[in-house]
Amino acid sequence: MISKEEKYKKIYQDNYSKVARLCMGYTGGNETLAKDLTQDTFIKVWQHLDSFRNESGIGTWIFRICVNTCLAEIRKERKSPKSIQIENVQLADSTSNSTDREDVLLQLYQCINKLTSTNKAIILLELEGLPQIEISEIIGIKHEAIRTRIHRIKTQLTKCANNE
Amino acid sequence: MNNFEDLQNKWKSQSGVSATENGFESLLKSVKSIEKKQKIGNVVLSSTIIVLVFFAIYVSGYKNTIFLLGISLMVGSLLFRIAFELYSLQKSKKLNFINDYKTFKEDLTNYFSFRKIVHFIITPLSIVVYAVGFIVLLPLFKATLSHGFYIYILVSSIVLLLIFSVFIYKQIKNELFKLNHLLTTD
Repeated sequence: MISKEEKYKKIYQDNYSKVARLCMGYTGGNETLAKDLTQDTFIKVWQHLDSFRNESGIGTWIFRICVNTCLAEIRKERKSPKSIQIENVQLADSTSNSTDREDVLLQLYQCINKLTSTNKAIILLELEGLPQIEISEIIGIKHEAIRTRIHRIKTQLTKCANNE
Repeated sequence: MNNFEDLQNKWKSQSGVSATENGFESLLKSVKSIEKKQKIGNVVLSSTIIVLVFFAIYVSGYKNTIFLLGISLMVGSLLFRIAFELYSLQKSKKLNFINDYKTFKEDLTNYFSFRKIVHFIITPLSIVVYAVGFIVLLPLFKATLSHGFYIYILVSSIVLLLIFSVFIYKQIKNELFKLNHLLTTD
């Protein structure tokens, strides 16, 4: 029988990257704010861990807490927004393509930031590769409706990321 | 030209955002510290209530009606405001982060709408009642305290009221922005 702390550590290790990426996306690449939101998400995971009943996968459950935490922390953007802080975000490989990738990532953050709160949450979950049925459970919108919506946001986001 | 799958691959290839041992230790410390703070908060609140009860018993011995009226208005308005703040805190704690996004958003909107009532009715009312209580006590202060101390009390209370008002204004502005954002965006 593993202790709550050990269980929590495993959850943290398995889900940290996904949660951190989602928070980065939600905050338009603001690393400081994203770190705070990631921390807040995991604090809430600890507080609710005893009530987790395995009805949905732990990943889906954490994403649900994460998108709600991000929504609850809406902050007014500064009039002259700081440049997006992705310098510390490293890419998996450091080939000559990395600058291109950084540019795409930067553009992607800006494009995501233009979306509404709900659309932001939906597309970030889609970018993480979550099945649409799970996205519909997290967001609370019917599967059919979410499918149409994802298709629309994907088109919008791809056009924006390609500067079309 | 990137299609959505290319964007998705690039998105997932951000490997800088990974879990670290130090990160977990610091998180665990935060969790424990929050639990400790909640316990301390309960002790502080209980002590405040005990002190106020003793204070009420102490001042009830005074026969001066103006003093009793002034002090009751001041302490009463504070208690009224604290009670509403505690009720708000309970309401915010009941926000269920495990709910789906749509339900959570509705609950969050209701919570900030309730806060609007606190900000536009309860808080101004408390400040006015507190100020009235203070003004009622002023002649008594003037009669019983030295001129210097009387001026000090008068000036410091105005400064405190101004600082407090700025703090409240910022909080109201922030919460109204959140409410407006929730109501106007999808």
